[in-house]
Amino acid sequence: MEFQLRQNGRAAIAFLADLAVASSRLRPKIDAELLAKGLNQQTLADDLDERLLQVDAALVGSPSARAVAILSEFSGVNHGRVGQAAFDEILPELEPKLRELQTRGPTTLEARLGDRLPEYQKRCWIHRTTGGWDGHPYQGFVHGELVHREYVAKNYPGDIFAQRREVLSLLPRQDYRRIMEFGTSSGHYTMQLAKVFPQAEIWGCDLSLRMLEQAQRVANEHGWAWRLFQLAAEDTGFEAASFDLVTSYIVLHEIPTETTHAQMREAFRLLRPGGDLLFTDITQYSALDKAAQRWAEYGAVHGGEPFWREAATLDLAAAARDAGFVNVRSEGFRGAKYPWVTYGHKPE
Amino acid sequence: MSLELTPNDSAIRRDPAAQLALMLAKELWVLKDRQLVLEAVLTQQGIAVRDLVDRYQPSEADRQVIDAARKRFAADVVAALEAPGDRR
Repeated sequence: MEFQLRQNGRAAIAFLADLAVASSRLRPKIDAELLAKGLNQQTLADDLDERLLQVDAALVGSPSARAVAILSEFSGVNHGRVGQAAFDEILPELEPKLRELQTRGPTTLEARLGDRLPEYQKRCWIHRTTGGWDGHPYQGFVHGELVHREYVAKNYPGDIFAQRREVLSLLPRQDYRRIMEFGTSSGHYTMQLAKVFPQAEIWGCDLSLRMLEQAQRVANEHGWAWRLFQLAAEDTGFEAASFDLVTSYIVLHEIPTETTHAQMREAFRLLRPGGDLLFTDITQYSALDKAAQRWAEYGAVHGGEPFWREAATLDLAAAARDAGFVNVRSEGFRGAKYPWVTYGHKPE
Repeated sequence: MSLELTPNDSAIRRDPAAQLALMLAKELWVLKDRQLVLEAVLTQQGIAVRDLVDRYQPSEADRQVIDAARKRFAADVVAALEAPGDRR
């Protein structure tokens, strides 16, 4: 969707993005400080909680660690606020178009949950977004178009949009007739599904109605006929054996591991025999050294990610096999540590 | 999950002065950005305001206004740092 931010919002978002990039450049200095203090792969504690305390004590008085703490706290609290403020500046001119895109077009949206969200979704303000994930009437646009494109994409390694398309190259088939996406959010991954599998009927679900509304606008703008549902992916209620591919992108670390198991089982139930599963998520801690695990935990704890650690330590391959999948692989994409892909096949 | 896992890091994050400084830095940048935009807009309109401002020499009357405003600002900064008058 074409839009132009006002000067205030444009400048504020750019400033926050630059702060985050500048902050990340301090991390090697902190790692060097820790090494100089004798904290390395051998001496860092095996237990993660113990390791966090060990590093925290070693960094007392470190100017770089202090700067990172101040900067990441500021970014964590303010990125949502700045995005909302930037959006509110352009709301009057944008709102008619947003309403039209939501109401006119081939994509449908059914709100089946309303406020009856699972307990895990209400546990905290996810990503520390002010007001929570549905905390703004146009939170889907604010997060999808402003925070994700203008802030997250600029301080995350690689092209986060290209990654969504490239992981689909892992799939063995091109002839999927019906695809189910768990955790559609504002539709960034769904767009890639629509482009890579143009013949497929695409269904998507999410807990957040505000995010799905933005996905609906995106689809309608492109003339795509998606079927979107606000419901819990672990309990869709859809007909068994009615999809050829069930997939999600960067969702698993937003849910408890028991829900991941339940989503694996639901995916297996929904797939026709011969169907495929592809779940993509954060790097497993088993692929990281102790220092990198510590940084991942640092970002998760202060970035509003309550389920990060349990997701990063869950054996996803075993979870997929437990659900019934075969030919299971769970590994970094193309030998990298991120993104982490888990593939499974439902036997014929 | 708690944000208070590590005492040193948590104490730094709880420091409101540091967060306020960053909030002011953000607002300062927005204003600097706006000034750069303003200069660009006026230059497009044929007024080379950046050069005019850089080279401008305040008149005696201008200088008195600027000096008074700056002294007031400096006094406010000092007052914010020292003990309030009603506690002396």
